Amino acid sequence: MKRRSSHLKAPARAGTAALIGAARAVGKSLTRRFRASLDRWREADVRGPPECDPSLFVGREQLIARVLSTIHNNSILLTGDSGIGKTSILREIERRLRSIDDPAYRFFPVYIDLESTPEDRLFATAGDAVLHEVARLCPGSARDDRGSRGADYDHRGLAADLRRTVRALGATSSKMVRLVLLVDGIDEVDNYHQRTTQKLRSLFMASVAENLVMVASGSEISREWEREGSPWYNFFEEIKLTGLRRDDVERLVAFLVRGRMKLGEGVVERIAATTDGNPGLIRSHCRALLRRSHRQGRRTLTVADVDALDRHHGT
Amino acid sequence: MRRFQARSESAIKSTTMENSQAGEGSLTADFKIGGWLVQPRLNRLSRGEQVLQIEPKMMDVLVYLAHNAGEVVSKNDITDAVWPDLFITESVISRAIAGLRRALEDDARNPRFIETILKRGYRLIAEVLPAPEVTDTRPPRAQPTQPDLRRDAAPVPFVVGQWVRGKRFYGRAGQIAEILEGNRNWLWVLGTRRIGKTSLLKQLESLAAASPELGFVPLFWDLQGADTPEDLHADFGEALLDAEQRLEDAGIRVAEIRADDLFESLGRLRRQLSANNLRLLLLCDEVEELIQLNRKDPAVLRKLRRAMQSQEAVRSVLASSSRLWQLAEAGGDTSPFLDGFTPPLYLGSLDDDEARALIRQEALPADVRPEFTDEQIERIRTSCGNHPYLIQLLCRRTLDEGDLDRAIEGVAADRAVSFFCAVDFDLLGEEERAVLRLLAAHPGASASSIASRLSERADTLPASLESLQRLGLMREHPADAFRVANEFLRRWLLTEAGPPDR
Repeated sequence: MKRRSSHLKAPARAGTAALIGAARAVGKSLTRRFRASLDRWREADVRGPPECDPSLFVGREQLIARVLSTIHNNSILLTGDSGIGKTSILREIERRLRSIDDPAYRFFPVYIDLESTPEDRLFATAGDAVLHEVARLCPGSARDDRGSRGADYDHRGLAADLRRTVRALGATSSKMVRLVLLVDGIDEVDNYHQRTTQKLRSLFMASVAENLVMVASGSEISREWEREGSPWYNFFEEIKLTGLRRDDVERLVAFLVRGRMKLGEGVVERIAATTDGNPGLIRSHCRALLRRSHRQGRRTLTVADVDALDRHHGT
Repeated sequence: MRRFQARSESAIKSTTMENSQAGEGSLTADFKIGGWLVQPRLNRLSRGEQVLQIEPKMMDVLVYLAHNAGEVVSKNDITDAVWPDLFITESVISRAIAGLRRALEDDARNPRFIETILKRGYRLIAEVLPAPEVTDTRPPRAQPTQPDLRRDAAPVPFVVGQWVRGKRFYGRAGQIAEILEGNRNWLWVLGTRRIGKTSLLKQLESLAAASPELGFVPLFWDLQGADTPEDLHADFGEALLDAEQRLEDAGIRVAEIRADDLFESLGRLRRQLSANNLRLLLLCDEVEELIQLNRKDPAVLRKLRRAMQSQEAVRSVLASSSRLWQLAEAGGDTSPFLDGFTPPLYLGSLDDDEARALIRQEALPADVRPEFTDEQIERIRTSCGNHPYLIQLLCRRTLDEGDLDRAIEGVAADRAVSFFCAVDFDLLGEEERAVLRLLAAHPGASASSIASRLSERADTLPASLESLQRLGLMREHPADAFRVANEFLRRWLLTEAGPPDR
């Protein structure tokens, strides 16, 4: 019995050892993969800009409130440096307008990106955006026929589409319709012939302008024209964007590094100072800081890290 | 704990009472939790200077939790209360709770506001208090004795950079009566930039359309950008489309008016209106464009003048700045374009009462009018010299800033204001510019004093003084004491227009 038993145990031991070995190998492989995955996650870019991730939109409440109390009657131009948050603010205004419950007005926000739009596509781009958005927001009020507008579609075509759209939207609500054109990259019009720009401006001379308002953003818009000056020079209420406030910088930094790194004493202040509260710069700083610190095997960001990064970038 | 519950219930009861009185179906009165002021109607949370807008549904969840403060509410309860007609997954509620925690800076593991009760639901553990009567949590301004004029939530009634008509249009009764009820059939409205020429035309369009007894069918024709005959024709077609409904009401189909030639279109329109015992009120804006057109094709202007000055069923109103005088001087034509349209109808500043009515926004319902004191109204009016654009800009800025002094400085530094000061100044004659420069440095100068300082120009001075007053660039107050009409032009003249003796 004993011999038989001993005879049977040997292969069982070998099998068990093989299983344990295989399990260890798999375990090691999984651990390696998990660690690699964790490393990739830690090194990965911090979350994208707020236009991609609305939860990253911080601060700007007074500005948003000012815009929302203005667009009943006035158009607005938001200017500011690259990365200051112009696109994010336009997208946030778009989100707010969709849910706002105004006693007298019904707002229909339409986001239009003019950046790199060729001159002969200006009106078609605007027309496509308006019809697409209105068809989405208010099915039956417009037909989404994007792409059907060619180079011969001019300001008159757009004016006709706007008239039809406003009429159709007016039939859906007892409130005053306000089509809010959120035009990103308005400085693109500086590259166009002045007549083209003038024709865009002329939309606001027609009757439909009573239902139309523009919130535009750009680095700058030229007011120096050949003759009496740009038709925009007195059209917009201009708001120059500045950096985020200190507490908003803190919130943004906390969002960006949460779960990846701890923040040492004074880090937020130093980031706020070196970026002037520019949210785009804050994002890129945080991204670089996370990579750098992770490669050094550390889990806490320090003021020295921020200073080293600034020295590296020569800021 | 009992004391907390009693206070919470008291706060919520008062909230509920307010809502039942208001006839509303949900809780909407303001309340406070843990230092945060919650304003459900505005979807707003504020604490000190920090102001947050949150999603309406998120606010509804918070209001529901506050209504049941201290008690555990299940996800089903929240769904029934906030999304009664929708099927939603639990993750929607979890996201709303997470959003509230983020906004309130709460920590789920160590909650100060919303506690998660495992397998049961959620509980608002912060104390709920009724909001104080004064809900403005902003810190005091630099001048606490001045009332804070900002109105965060209410729409700003002032319109800057866009034409107005109807309830938003103030003044100009004299010009309107002359155009709609006077004997002249060809009028030229002359004014500086931003004085309100387009708004006047839009108001005329609106009034004529609403007053069939006048017998006019108005047509607003924007000439902006029309520097070729083809553009002029196309823009006329655009004007017809813009007025399509009105024309149809008058028994005219736009398709029947359209022709390959602008003047044929105009002729058809006049004839059809005449057949219906109606007249065309042709309201032409940005007429300066015709200067360019005249350089390219003078024949078009001759034809246009004949069409506009037809004896048959048309009253033509041109609006432009003084640049249009160039057409009066255009050579090579025995009948320059402006013959018949002159003398122009000057559009200057509003009179004092009209300016006060504009600042008070008297045509709007009382609850949406801005709250300015009489003293502030007079200060706004005199700083702006009753200029309608400047008044609206300054009022708008004052409501934004909450402080009139800061708003005045802001307007003075505004690039758009500098720009239109420069444009208006460039359009003046040499003598008029000299007078303005002198008055900027010597406000209140008499006519004889101005004449002595500008001795070589004394013979033409009365005409220059009259022209400047009509344009609203200078005012006489008191008698024989002249000054620059508004504070912003005066500042611009002092810094940008060179020395007075230049």
